[in-house]
Amino acid sequence: MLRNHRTGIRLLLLLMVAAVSAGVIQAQAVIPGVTGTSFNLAAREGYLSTGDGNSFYAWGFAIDNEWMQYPGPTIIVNQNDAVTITLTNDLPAWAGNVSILFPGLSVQASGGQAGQLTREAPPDGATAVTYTFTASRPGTFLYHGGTRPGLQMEMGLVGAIIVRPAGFSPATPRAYDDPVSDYDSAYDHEYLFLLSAMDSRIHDLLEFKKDLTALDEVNYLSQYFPNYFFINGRTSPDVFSEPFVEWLPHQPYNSLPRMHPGERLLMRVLNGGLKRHPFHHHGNHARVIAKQGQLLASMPGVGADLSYEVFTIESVPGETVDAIFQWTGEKIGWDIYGDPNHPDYAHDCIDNDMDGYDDVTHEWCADHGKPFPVVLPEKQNLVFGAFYSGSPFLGTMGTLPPGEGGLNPNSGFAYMWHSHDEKELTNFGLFPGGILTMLIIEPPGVPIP
Amino acid sequence: MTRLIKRFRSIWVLLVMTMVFGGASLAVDVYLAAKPFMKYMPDGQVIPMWGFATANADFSIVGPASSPGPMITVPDTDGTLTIHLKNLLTSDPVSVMLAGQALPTSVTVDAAPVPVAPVRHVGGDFDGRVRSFLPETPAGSVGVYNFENVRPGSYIYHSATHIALQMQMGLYGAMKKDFAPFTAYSGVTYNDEVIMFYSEVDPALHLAVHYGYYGTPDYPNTLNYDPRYYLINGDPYNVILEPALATGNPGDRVLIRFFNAGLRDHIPVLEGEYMDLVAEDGNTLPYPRNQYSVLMTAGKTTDAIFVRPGGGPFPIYDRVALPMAAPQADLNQDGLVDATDLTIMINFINGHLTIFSEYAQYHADMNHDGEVNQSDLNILSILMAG
Repeated sequence: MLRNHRTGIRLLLLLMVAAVSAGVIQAQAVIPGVTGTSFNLAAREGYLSTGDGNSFYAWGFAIDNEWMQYPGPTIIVNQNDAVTITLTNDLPAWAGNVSILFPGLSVQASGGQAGQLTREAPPDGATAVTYTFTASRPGTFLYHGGTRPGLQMEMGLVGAIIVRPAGFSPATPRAYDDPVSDYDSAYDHEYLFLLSAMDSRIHDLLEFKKDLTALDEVNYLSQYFPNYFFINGRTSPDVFSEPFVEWLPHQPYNSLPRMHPGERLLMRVLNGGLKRHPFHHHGNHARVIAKQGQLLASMPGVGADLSYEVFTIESVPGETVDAIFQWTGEKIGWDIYGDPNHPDYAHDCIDNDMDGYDDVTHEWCADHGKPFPVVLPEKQNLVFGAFYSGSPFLGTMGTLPPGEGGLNPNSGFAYMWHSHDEKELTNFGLFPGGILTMLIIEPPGVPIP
Repeated sequence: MTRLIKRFRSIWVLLVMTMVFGGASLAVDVYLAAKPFMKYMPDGQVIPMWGFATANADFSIVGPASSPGPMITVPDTDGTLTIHLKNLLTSDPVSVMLAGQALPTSVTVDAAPVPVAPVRHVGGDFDGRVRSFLPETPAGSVGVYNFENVRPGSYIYHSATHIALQMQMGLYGAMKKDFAPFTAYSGVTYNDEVIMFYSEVDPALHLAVHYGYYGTPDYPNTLNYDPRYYLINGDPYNVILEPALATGNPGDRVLIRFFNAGLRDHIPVLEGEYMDLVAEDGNTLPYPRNQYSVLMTAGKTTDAIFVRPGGGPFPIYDRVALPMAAPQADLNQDGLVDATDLTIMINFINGHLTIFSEYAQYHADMNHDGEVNQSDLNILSILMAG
């Protein structure tokens, strides 16, 4: 029943390495979003679904004639682009004006009506506000409602902006235009973690009263008490579904980070809500290289020399954090590929480049052949998680009782990435839910988009 | 729009370019009086508060109290700050401390030296527990608190007595000292200065203290803190009255001193611009942090340098604000708090009124404990009796 990919993987990887050197493969994970330099956004109403089966009323940004979505479309532009974002307001009249703020970006606004913080689009479905800016610095940014911002963000008017550095190469991607260093921004895979929370009482109230002054009659704002917690607009377990699934029409983005041993994963962590979220990533530390779209550098040109390692990213409302996460299995103390002398697990550790790791499988050679340190209990004494492959070894599937497992088809290692505020692991009090996803360490050779 | 802004306690502030810098700086001997005052909120409510006021050396002239109190400016050439504090509160003792500075080296009360030591409750339920971090100045007395080796930076001064209550009542203010003229810290020069002092008001506590039912079962303590007013430099933002803050000329280095004397996070965002955070709690950072926002937790001070571009004004808004209306016990919404409202509440509490609107429930919860019961009725009766 054991399955061994080892020899096949090595051959496949050698082919892939050859292909990469020929400049053919773009192996980087893609953050879904919209690209270009001109975007037509509209504020529209809709309904959000949550993992406990609930749904409630919300507002969101939509692109062109699409439905509103939460979060709004992830806008991906290049450094030095002249970007134009046009906003119209399709919300009902009682919702009032809508506008957009772009913290960290120097924006010129025109059209629409004058507002307190920027120009605003009245809810007539026609009057447009135009926001223009030059994406002068690379990084991760937020955009969000700017007319009574706290309430508009709560209702769902928030999204992410990614500015690629000048000279960005999809084959050798970097988050910033920093020099190569031990703490630079080069990555193999990038993932968005837009964290947020909602207090569904506010949404229900506005849906039924259709009047913003209804909020004066309740203490929902002064005693703000969110009960749903989101990564990229979905609660767990919905985060595991594919992006753009038809049963989540207003929540197109998922969250399921995947990587191979030894690779660099760029975490773009944004807080699009009103509460802090301690985002705890199991598996290893991550190196925070940038905050608020600014590389943590002592001076320009030296790279992120002020970067630091954490195992919980303190996500502050309105802040963006960029961090590099790596997983190597180094010093785990046992052979992650199993007993090399057992015919089912036969593998070697070849380290020609003397970095301590196998050049292909990225096994930490110092632990090669070290036995798994515990005796696994009999299966009748175990309770199984849906991410358990049946084997503790990477890339190996073991026997499981009927109906168990199934969410880990490549037999990767799964690490929970979640809010460390326990309430935020629930959907209206039900565990598991909220800000909870899994990092999957996939065996070498498993394709990751 | 104007009405909306007033109604919802919006809390953004505009910075504009008018060059107005300077202002009165107090001598190294500072004369403050702690006294009650009435705060008129833009929605028409009147909140009893406590605040610090400036005074002359023999306290024969005392200015109006405010919250935050007057800015204490210690000249860069002076290492010693002596605060003369007259207690004009009716009953409670008071004191003054500087968070982030050393304790005073000496204290006198009515010219008599007293040990610089905490004051503890004697007898009763709290026997032996600390009530004040520093010696207290009783009502009617003058305490002199002598701080030496005052460090440069931005600090919050506040009462050191029954802090949970007295800070909420408004007994706090800002203290600043430059390293050298127009130099906040060594190497941190500036041309212009902006003060952003955040605080909050929960009217329930203020009414309880003012009308004397604080500490009773109707309002036992400060645990149900539920602020309804967010203040910047002592006022809710008011679109009509708010003067935009001056930021000098394009190219100027504007020092923004952020203070948070409230109990909630505030996260000012300087929209569209970046600033260099240079110091926290009066301590310089080894490298400035180039950010568009700053997390201001309770009690924190942060200094930032904003190199002012052309254009403006530059909005600053609180990223975590949910501006709200402050409730009043006008349960039938006729514009008056009167005997009719009292009757409505009595009928509800006695079960004669089974339908009680969300509006009424919210506005009838006088002590912010989340329910409407006899305590709220007691409080409304007290308030109506005046």
